[in-house]
Amino acid sequence: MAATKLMEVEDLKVRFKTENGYVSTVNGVTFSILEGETLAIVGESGSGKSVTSLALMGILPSNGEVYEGEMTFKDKDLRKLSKKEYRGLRGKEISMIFQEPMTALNPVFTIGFQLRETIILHFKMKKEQAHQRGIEMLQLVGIPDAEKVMTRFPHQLSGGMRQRVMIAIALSCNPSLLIADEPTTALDVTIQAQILTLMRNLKKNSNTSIMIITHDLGVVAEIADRVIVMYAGEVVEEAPVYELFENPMHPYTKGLMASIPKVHDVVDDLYSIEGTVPNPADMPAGCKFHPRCPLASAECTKIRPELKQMNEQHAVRCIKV
Amino acid sequence: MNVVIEEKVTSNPNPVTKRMKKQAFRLLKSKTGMLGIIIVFFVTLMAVFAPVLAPFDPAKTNVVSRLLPPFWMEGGTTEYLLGTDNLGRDILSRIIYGSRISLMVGIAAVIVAGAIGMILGLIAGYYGKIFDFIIMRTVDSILAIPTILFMLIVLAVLGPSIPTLILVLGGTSWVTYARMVRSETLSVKERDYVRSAKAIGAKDFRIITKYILPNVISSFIVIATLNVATIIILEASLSFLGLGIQPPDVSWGLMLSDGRQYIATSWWVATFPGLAITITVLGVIFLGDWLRDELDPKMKD
Repeated sequence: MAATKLMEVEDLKVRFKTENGYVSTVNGVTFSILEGETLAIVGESGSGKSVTSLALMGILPSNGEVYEGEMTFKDKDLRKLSKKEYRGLRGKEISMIFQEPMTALNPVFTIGFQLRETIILHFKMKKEQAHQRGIEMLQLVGIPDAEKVMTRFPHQLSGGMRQRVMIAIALSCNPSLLIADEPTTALDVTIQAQILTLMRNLKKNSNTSIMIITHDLGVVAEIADRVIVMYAGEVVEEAPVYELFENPMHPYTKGLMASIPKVHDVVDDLYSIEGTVPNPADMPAGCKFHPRCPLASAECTKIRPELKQMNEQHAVRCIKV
Repeated sequence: MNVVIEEKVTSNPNPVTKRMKKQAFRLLKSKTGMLGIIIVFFVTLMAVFAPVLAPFDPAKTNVVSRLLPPFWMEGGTTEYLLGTDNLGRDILSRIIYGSRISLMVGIAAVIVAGAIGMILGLIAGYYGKIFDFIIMRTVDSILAIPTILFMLIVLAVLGPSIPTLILVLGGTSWVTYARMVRSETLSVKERDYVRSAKAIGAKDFRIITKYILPNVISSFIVIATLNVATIIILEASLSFLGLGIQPPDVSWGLMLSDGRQYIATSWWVATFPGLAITITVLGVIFLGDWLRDELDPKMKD
C-alpha cells in the first residue's frame, strides 16, 4: 500500500490520576492509519483501546492525560493544538461513534435538531440547508422515511436505527477519519451485519479512513484491512487482516483465535485464555502477558520484549517468535 | 424495541398546531395539571385585577364592625363576605390584595434563587475542581447558618422592604438548587451524548446549555414549584416576626400572623389567608408536576 499516512501515533502514553498516584493505561502505542484504510484495534476490556481513541479525539476524562508521545494528523501535531483548533477538528475532520447508541443521543432533542447542530457547527449553513443535508445523511445510512425520523426523539427509535443516526451525525461533515468505538457491540447480530455493511460501503464511496475498536474478531474479519492487537496498553501484534488470521504469531493473538467457537468442530470445552488483564497499577515485570502465556519461560519474566518486525507488515512483541 | 417508523400518516398538515393540540389534550387528561393551571390562573387574575375585584380598601379600618364573622354565620353580613379582622378591615379585600405581594415575592424570590443556583450548580458540576470546591463550600456554609436568623439580621440592617425581602429570600434558598443541579450535572456529563457532543466539536457553553441544562431542568422545575410554596411560607414567618411585609402593605403571611391571637374567638381571621396560601401552593405544585411530565420527552408517546 503506497497510500499516505493520515494519522500517525508515536509512542503514545496516557495516564490517569487516581487516589494512589498516576496509573498508566496506555504505554507507548505506535501505529498509523493510512488514507482510505480500515484499521481495527482488538483487545480485551482494559487493554487501553478505548482510551487510545479518546486520546486521539482529545476528549479524555478530566483525570486523564497524554504525558508522552506524538499524535500527528494530516501533518498537525495534535498535542500542540489549542483548545479551539482541536474543536474545529473534532466532528469535521475526525468523528467518533460510540458503543451505546441508546445513550449517545441527547434525549431531549429531536434527531433533526442534533443532525442540524453538527452541520451548522462546522459549516456556516442556513437552517433549511442543514435540514436538507440531514435528510440526505439519514437516507445515506439507509433510514427509510428520513423526513419523519428527523422529527423523532431518540427514545422512539430502535437501537439499530439510533446507531445509524449516530453514523449519519458522525459522517455529516465528511470527516477524513471515523473512529468507531465498538459500534456493533450493543446491537443484535442481524443489525450488526447491516451496520458493518453500511460502514464498508460508506468507506468505499467517500474514502474515509476508519479506525474501529472492537473485541469481536468476527467484526474484524468482516471489515478491517489491517489489525492491531493490544494487550495491557501495548501493541502486541500488528498485521494485515488475512495475515493475522492465517498466521497469528503472538501467543495472545493465538489464544484469541482459538477462543472463537467454530461451527464445524464439535468440542466439549471452548478454549479460553486463563486469567484476566493485569491491573494497570500493578503490571507484571518482563513481558506483560507472561502470567497468562502458555509458552512463558523464566526469560519472559525478566525481559520486556520489543516489537519485532517479522516482515514488512507484520510485527510481534514476543521473544519466542 | 420500539420502532415507530411505520406510523400511519395523519391528515393534519401543520406539525406545530398538531403538537399544540396534543399538548392541550394531555393537559385535559391530567386532572391535577388542569386543576393546577386553573388555580394559578385565578390567583394571578386576582392579583392583577385586585383594585377592580376587591369590594373595600384593604387598609380601611372600621372600628364599629370589627371581628365580624363570615356572612353565613350568625352576626355576619353579606357586606363583608368573609368577615372582618380586629381593626374592622374586610378580609376578602385583604386576601385579594395580599395575593399580589405573596405571589410577587414568592415568584421573584424563586427566580432569583433559581438563577443563581442553576448557574453556580452547572459551573460546579461541569468544571469541577476549584470551582466545585469554592461553590460547594459556600453552599455548606450558608446551610450551616440558621436561615431565619440570617434573614432577620440582614433585614434588620438593611431595613425591611419588598426588594430586600426578595433578595434575602432568594439569596438564601439558591443553595438547594445549586446542590441539586450540581449533582445532576455530575451524572449527566458522564453520559455518552455529552461525550459525543464533545466529539462533534461543541463548545463548553453549548454543551452546558444544550446538552446538560435541558436534561437537568425537569428536577429543577419540581424543586422550584415546591420552593414557591416554601418561600410564601417563609415570607409569612418573616412578616409574623415583624421584619417582612410592613403595613399598610398586606400579605397572606401578615394576615395569618395578625389573626393568630384571635384564633380562639374569631377563627376566620387566620383561617382564610391560611386557606389562600394552601390552595395557591397546591395549585403551583400541581402545575409543576404537570410541567415536569411535559418536559420529559419520554412521556410524549
